[in-house]
Amino acid sequence: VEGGLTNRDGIAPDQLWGNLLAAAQAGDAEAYRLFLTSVTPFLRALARRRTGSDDLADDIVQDALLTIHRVRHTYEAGRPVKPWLAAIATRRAIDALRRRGRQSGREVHDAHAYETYADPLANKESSEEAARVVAQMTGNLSPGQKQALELVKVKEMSLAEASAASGQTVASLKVNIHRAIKKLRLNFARERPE
Amino acid sequence: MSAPPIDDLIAALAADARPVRPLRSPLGRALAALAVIALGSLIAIAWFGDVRQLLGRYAGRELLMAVEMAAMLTTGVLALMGAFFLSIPGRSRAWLLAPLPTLVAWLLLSGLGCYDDLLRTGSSGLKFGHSL
Repeated sequence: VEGGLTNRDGIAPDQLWGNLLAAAQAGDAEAYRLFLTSVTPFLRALARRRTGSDDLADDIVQDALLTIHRVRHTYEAGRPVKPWLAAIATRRAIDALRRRGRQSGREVHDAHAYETYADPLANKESSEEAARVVAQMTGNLSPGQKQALELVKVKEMSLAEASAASGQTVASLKVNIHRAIKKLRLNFARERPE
Repeated sequence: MSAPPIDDLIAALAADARPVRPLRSPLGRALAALAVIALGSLIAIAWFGDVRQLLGRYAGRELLMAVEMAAMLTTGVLALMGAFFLSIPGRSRAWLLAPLPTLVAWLLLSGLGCYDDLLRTGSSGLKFGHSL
């Protein structure tokens, strides 16, 4: 089936995407999977064109897929799908560029900043202190938020793996991580008011 | 080896493919909202409004009032329709500008009254907080 879906350029005809999405709205999981799979190259090409970065394009595609899932009821059957997809991907690309602008403007990466001495044992005291601070800062996270943060950010599981391990849905994992990081930022700001 | 994250994500989303009720067309929803607003406005006007007094204020300028009101209502209708269309991804951004021509017409026609006052009474017709 999949072979017949795409043309030479890997881009499916708009009408076919429309039919798949309409079927997905009716709850057809297989049509939905085919739709998401076949629009991914289109989304990635758009994201790459907007940002000029492969890494960023991957993030944008993931965000766009999540947005598509959330707003799939807004597609009107019979209308062209590409403008609908392009609008969503463009918005997510703009978000990603803004995020990158903020991060590169305010955050620095300094791996050695966490170590006082080269010998790990010599850092025992400061690591105990660090553990205390982390425990204090994560004290007001809900169990779900702690779990989401630990599985996805610390253990570096994929969202699907973390979802399987924790029983939380992908969407709630994303929400929990977002809220946890927001709380951590707030806690951190309180800890260091300057 | 585990599957790439995007394939995982697609599988997770497809597994969550509950049926959703597609939104009705923006035009249909806009017209329904307009119908409710029109009904509410008519009831409010019938209840609280003093149409005779309003007509008295515009005596001799009925055409101006009619055109100004038409421009005002069209601005509102187009703005509301634009809001419904723009809330759907991929619809034309030109809806942002749709109320602009009638908005300009409405403001200009409202300004005509001030212009009249200026012609009749000179610069004293431009005092703030003063209505002739």
